[in-house]
Amino acid sequence: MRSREEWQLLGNSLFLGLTVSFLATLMGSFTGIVLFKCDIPFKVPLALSLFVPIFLPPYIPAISWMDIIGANWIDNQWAGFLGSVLCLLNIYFPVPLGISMLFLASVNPRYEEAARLIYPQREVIKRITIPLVMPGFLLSFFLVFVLSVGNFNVPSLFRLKVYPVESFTVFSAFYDFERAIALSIPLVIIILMLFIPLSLFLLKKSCIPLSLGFKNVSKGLDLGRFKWPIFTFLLLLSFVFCILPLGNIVFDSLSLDAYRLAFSRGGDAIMRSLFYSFFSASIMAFFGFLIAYAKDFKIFPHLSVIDAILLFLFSLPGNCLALGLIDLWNREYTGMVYGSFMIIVLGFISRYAIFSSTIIYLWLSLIPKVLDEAARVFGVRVIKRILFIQVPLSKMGILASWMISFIFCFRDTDLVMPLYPPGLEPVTVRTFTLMANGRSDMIAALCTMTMVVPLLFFVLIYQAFRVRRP
Amino acid sequence: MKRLLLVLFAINLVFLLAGCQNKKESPKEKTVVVYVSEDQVFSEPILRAFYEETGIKVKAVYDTEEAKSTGVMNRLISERSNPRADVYWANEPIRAEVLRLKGILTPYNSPNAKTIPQEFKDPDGYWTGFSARARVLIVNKKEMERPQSIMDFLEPKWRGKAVIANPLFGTTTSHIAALFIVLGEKGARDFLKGLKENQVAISTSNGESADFVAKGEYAFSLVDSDDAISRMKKGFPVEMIYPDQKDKGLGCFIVPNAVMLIKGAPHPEEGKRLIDYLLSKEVEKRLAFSDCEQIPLHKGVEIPQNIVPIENLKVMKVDYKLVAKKMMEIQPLLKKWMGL
Repeated sequence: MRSREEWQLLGNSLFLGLTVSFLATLMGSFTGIVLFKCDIPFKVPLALSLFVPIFLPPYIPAISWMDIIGANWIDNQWAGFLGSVLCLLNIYFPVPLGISMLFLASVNPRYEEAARLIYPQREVIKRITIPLVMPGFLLSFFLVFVLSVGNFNVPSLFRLKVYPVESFTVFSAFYDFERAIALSIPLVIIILMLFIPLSLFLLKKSCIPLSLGFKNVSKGLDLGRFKWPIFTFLLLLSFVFCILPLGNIVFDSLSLDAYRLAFSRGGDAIMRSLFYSFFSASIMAFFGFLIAYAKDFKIFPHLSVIDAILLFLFSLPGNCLALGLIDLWNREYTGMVYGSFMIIVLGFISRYAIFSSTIIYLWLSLIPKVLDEAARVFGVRVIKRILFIQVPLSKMGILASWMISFIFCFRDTDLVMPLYPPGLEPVTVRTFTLMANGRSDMIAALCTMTMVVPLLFFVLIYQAFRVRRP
Repeated sequence: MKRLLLVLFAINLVFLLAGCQNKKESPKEKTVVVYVSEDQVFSEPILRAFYEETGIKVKAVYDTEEAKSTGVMNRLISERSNPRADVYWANEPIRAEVLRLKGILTPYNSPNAKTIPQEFKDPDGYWTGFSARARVLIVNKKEMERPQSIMDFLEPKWRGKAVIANPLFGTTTSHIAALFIVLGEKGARDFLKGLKENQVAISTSNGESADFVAKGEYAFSLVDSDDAISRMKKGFPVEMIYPDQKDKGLGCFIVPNAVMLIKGAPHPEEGKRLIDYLLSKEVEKRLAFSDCEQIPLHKGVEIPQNIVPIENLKVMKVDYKLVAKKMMEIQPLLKKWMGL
């Protein structure tokens, strides 16, 4: 932090991150509550349209927004800032939306039912529901902040001077890897400083029990005279965040030939992306659970160091992390790993394992310890306690962490771009490299497939999950 | 729960098997690993044709100028101690020189390089140029006047109407470095100063510059010929002008592709065969007739009517080695100029 420019970079980065995370958490959490708790029509299509942008790598909505806004603002920093905020909101809005809905689903309905005897429904939400899901809001704020301050594509396209852009410039124009890493350190320190109080706060909230098998089914809060204005607001959000930036892409792709070509050029890459993401997310969920369990039950001391390391890796620019991994794994005896898909899986785990360990830990900390202790008193072994108490009670948390990890692995570009083994590129890289002078309808079809395929994949998994429910 | 776990396990297993199949390299199967920064749309068919002709399997890592070619350049530098690539097909020769200076390349004088003009290849055989792009002016047709020189960026009549890609990256850096050679230090610094004074806008890439001009948001820009050609083929109202073609003009900066062998390549023989193939007249003809319409460097290669043969162009006379050296020198200046 020697020069005025570096302070300016830090200021811009923080201002951008805080603005986006504040707005995204406010809007996403509000929308989550409305969609989960209220009698709004067309809930499913609205929710789907709002979730869709998260499946795309950030550069696609960013390019769409550039097309919409045009170049007239090109030298204006404030316009660049507003453009970046709008675009990052578009990309990360689904994070608080999803997390708030997930936490709402976990609230014990008996608390709300008891409160409903005294208060009207709206007061119940204000006094009971919102305080109970507050950890989810804070987690959303933190995640969106980390994602926003670390994003390179959007501020670069909107000419906003922030740390990731500077780091990328040093990395790509000067090939100065060490300085690129050094430039990301101030933000990493700030992220770690935010993480510590957040963890302490979340730990304090651990006394709130989960619904423990009671399904939180909302009857649908009557919004009264606010129903149609709120519905209009959600329609507007859906229009701004989905139809406006992505409608153009879908419209461009509307020809059979485009899809035929997209499938022949990118079908294998989509399958590979599904595989990489599925495999990585599953490993992360497994180890994330073990770490979270060990932390929750304080099996080993100082386990929070693991969180700090994972957070550090997550906060690093993807390309710096990739080059670090190359340095580590491109050796004579580890060539098998480096030359195979495992290097991508390792990359994803290094970058996104923080999601699974944090979310599952948060979930486990909400489960009353008394259940595990009771089983232990009766001599039940730890493996059985994990399999028959902790895993069933935290399955929603595990599933949520798995889904979030899957999505982030599926859409990743900057980490895998310098890392993928020859001939094994995922779909985001394939789309990116084909975009240069490729047929626009084919690229549009490839983008549409990139949005739709993981959605269908989730639906399939959901169906498999649903079968066993009575 | 058990059922769910079983389903997840089964999916993992299927994916794992699918992921592992055909990844094992049979000892008899010949393979070449090539890193490519020429656009995938144009390079992939060439590499496929190489496989069909020779039976040597090509494993490629593609990059794009939009990503500032960071993928392969940084990867090659990072892999220096244990190289994975056999060949690098670069979309310009300047960064080939950077790699040579970093000790990443090994010389190979392909027999097919003999008929390529001396100025487009390294005298020691570290890299060889083929199929070139030109740095051209893309102009929106609604403009009444047409710029003819890169010095038109400084003309008051074009104030605020022109755009140029970020000079820290891609072929724009090479072009600016070439200007430092032909105009001299002072002339080039004055040119950069003039760009600012004449409110020339900065885009993130040549592709974006071409799009801005195609949409009429700016009157003209300096881009690579394939960027201009692709917008013309898409039907945008733009035309391409080779700049500085008059007698005393600077000439048009030519950016050949460059191919090079990596030092310590795991498959050097296959790598050399791929280099021979890329330097053949047949590949130059294919690239000339493809959508990028690149200019062949071999004499006597059949070309489409709209391509100007290299011998008919007034070419900016520069030594690419000097340009590369200058490029590394001026990067801090360009960064400062960009306000970064």
